[in-house]
Amino acid sequence: MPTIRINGADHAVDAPQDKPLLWVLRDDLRLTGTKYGCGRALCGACTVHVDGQPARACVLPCGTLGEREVTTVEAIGGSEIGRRVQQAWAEMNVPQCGYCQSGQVMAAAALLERIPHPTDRDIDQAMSGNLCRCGMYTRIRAAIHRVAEGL
Amino acid sequence: MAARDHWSRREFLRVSAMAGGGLLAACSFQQDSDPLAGGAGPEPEVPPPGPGDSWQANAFVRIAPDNRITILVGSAEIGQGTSTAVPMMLAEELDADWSLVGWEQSPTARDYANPKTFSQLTAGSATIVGLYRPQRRAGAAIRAMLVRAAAKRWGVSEDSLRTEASRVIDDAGGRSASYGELASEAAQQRAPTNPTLKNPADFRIIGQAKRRLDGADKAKGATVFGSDFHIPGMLTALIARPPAPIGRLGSGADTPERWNHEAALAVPGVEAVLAVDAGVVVVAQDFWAAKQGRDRLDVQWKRSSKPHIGSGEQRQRYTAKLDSPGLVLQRKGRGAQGLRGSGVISADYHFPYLAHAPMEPLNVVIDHAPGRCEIWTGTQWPDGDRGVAARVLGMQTSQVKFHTLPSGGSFGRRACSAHDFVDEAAQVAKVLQKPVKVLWTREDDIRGGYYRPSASCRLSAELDTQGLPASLSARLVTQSLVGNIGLDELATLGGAESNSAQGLTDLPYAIPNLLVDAHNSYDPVPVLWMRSVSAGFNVHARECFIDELAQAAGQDPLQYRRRLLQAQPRLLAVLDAAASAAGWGAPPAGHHQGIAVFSAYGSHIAQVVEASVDETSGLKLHRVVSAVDCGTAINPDLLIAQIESAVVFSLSSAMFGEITLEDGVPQQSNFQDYPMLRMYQTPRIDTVLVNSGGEPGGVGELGVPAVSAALANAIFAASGQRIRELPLRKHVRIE
Repeated sequence: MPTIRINGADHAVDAPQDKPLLWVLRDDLRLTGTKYGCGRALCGACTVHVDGQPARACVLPCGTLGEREVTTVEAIGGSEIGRRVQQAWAEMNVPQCGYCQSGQVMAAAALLERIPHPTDRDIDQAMSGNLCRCGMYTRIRAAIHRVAEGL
Repeated sequence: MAARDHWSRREFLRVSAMAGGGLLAACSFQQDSDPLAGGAGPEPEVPPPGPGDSWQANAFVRIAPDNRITILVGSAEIGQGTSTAVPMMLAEELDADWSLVGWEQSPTARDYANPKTFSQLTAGSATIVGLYRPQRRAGAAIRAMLVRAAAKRWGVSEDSLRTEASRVIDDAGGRSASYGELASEAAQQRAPTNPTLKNPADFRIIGQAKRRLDGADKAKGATVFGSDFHIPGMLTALIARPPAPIGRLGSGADTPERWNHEAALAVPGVEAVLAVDAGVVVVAQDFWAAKQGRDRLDVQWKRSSKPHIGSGEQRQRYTAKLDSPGLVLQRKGRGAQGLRGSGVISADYHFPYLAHAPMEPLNVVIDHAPGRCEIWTGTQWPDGDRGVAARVLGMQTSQVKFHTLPSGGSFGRRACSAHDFVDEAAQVAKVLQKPVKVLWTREDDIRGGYYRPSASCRLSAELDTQGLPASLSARLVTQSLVGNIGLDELATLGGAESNSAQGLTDLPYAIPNLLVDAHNSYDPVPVLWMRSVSAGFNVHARECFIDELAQAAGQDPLQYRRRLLQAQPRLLAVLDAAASAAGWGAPPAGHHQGIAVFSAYGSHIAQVVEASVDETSGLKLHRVVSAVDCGTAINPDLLIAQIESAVVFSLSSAMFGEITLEDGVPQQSNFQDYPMLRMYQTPRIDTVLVNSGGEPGGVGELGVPAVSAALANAIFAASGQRIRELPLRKHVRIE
């Protein structure tokens, strides 16, 4: 029965060690902001931060997390960069269906924490693992640049 | 000039006071038995309802005492922005303070039907087109009632009052009152039957680039999609479906013969294993247990007697059919007479099956017990889905309470004419009699059938002495979108939308002799409309072929189209605007351009793709420019977002999209073999609006069909290679 540190709180989870973090979040803790899109780390809809680094929760066995700190989209607004990313997303009409955007926001926040003023190439590298079937890539790019301008 | 717009005889507005203050308005679509229907003479004004009237359940506007306005939207929010654009239309005529306007998804009820689809079906780029006038009429009528209330309160004439930002203002008296303050009194006024609509020049909300009302929640991960929805005691079910989608066609399905019941039940958390028509169902405490259980089922399927087709074999059949005349859909002038001999230019184009692949796989939450049923799901067709659930459960439609939740994408998949995902969820619930969420994995989605049909199209033409086409023939082989599922009567409802020849029978070009004929192939593969429907392949073929004709005539593709579009002023205007914005004819060194056009849903678009093809890095996209005329834009920024979305959607299909079948079984399963455009592959996208005013046209699908052809034409310009089969990656390297 692993204990997982999520959004600043410890959760003792009654789950097998190999159960992916995604389903612990969604089904055990009912933190449904993190989305299922592929189950194979191909689309990025389930992106969370583990010790500040973007990770695909759908392939991350919950038993391997140990002491590491998980941050989900529900808590990312608590960081200055996370808050600014979410604000830029809303202001620039980035979401359409919005289903992938939890993962996009998490990937963008991790990028901006690491590189406050990313180039287009940085954005390509950091964001190309996140699919958007609505095709809002040009808006995601513009919103990342908008956030960077304010940093 | 302001329009006087009459309510139709079968709809009227009812307004009443809310308990605790405020105002509630509903628009009632009357039944045929209504005495107002068909009567002569002036339409009576509608009296305020008496206490106890049940219509309030279907209210679509609430004005609260604190001046907040909530507008209920009957169309589905699938990403296209209806939850913002529909309220904007009503708020405009109401003269609402937009900062205090919110939205809610409406219940499933006839009152929320879109007149264009005769139901709550959200499809065919029809939401704005269908609701532009009804929403404005409702807003104008409620505004008139608020003005009447204020006039009575102050003892002045209505004409001396004006409205702005949710206030009625008496300039002469130097006073004003908020809508919230006036709401209770307004509810006692008679509703006008023919409210005056604004002159578009006076619009304050329509035409503004407002932020999406659902944008902030979506950025916070706070939106509750169907897959996020939870009710107490809810179980999770996964279904092992037949490997060949033929099995989803009801009779003739492959059926489960044996499966390892015990192995699935042995997984901790698995509660039940059931067999229903849809397949073998594993019911568990949560997704992960259900997934482990299903992985251990090892179902052996008994093949039905229906043929299990392969894509290669199908291509051969379709190609052979291109040689024989089909059902004539359109003939103009001499038709295809004389289209033989050495002067004829001809080209065959081939298109694969495509999966919609919305980011949120299908899911349904259903709570059924004897005599009652409640369903929550993201769908484009709630009333149709509800009817199917009632049929499966042997219940009255009125006993099924149906809730539409926001969809994580759809592109037509959630407007399934067979209502497959709700049908099978009802099958599960019928046996289980417990609240359950039926989830699809990505593999279930990609292999699940209901694909955009495959198609082959032969275009032939002969040029006149000017190099322009004197005769053109278009022959299509594809599956009917409606014939395969016994819904032929639907073919007339959507007109060109559900017609497999859209883009061919509505050719914009001036060509004197024309023949369009088609073979409907009855392949045992469930097919479904996908964003832009048959125009997705027909317009691609047509616009590539026009390019081939321009080449044969030795003319520039832009100038060639201009010559053929002289009778199409709106299309000509977007063509010129796109060419100008894209710098047609003068791309950066090493880049090459292609152009294409499309008109539908009352809207027009021209698109230019700038690309390069080189030995080392293959195909690279640099820029896409679109010019759009949709008459009136409700929210120009969301319109532009729709075009950007369509561009990426279309390029993804054209470059990568392909479902192949072997022995009836789809060979793709997830994003590694059904890829789509990613950030690093996406070009700069510019969209220019050249709206000509008047009624708004549809835009949700507008940007899809032409841009893929513009890309193929750009590849020809870059490499001299004519690629006549999609996906392009079969013929050009893409990294």
